[in-house]
Amino acid sequence: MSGRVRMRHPELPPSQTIPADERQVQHYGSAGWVVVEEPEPPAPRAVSSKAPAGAEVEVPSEPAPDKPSRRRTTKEDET
Amino acid sequence: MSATPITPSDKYYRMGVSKAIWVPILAAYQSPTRAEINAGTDLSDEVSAASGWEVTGNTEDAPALGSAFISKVSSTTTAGDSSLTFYADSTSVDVRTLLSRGTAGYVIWMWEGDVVGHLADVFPVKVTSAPKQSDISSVAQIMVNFAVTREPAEDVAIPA
Repeated sequence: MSGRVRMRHPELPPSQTIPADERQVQHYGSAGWVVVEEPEPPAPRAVSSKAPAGAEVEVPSEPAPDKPSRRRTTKEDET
Repeated sequence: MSATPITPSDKYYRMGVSKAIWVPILAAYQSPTRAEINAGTDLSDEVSAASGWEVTGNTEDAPALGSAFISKVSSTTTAGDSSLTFYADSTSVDVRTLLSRGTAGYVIWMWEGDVVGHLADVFPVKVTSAPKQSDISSVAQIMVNFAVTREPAEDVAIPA
């Protein structure tokens, strides 16, 4: 069984790629399509170590940001 | 006073005029761009026969006790299985290298040729099979069968 590659056409947006098997590469190549590198799969995320049972998770305490006070514009302000 | 006659047509013969284009990708198949069409493959010179490529409107009977006449109601639309038959190559480098089973894309029928402003039909398709024709007394051919996977876009203006 032949492998699969991705191809794109220089006249089309980079996002418009097509899957092609190796037998199709020559045909699409003559129509201007070029083989592109497959994007590398994202690295697996590190497994987060579980906190031991019963241990409290410390939540950093941050003061709540001051909310800007909203003030409705009155007609007097507009004039 | 009588009804206005329909505009007379400039009649033509499909061979030598109509084009079948294979396009592997379209961002919006209801409005293909010129760049997308140009990135496709004109199949016309290798097509020896075509079948299907039409949208059929279905109807349902709507009988009523009060009348012996059974009226009809338009219901679903379907596009039957379609095929293109190609000539086979003596070195096996033919349509099999382009349209193998499972390949998905679009067949654009430019019935009156690739002329800006003329109308075309766009069929989203997937190749279901590509059997060799085994008739020993005719030129070797391969029939590529397609399933129409979405509603075809009919009468799309060919872009500049």
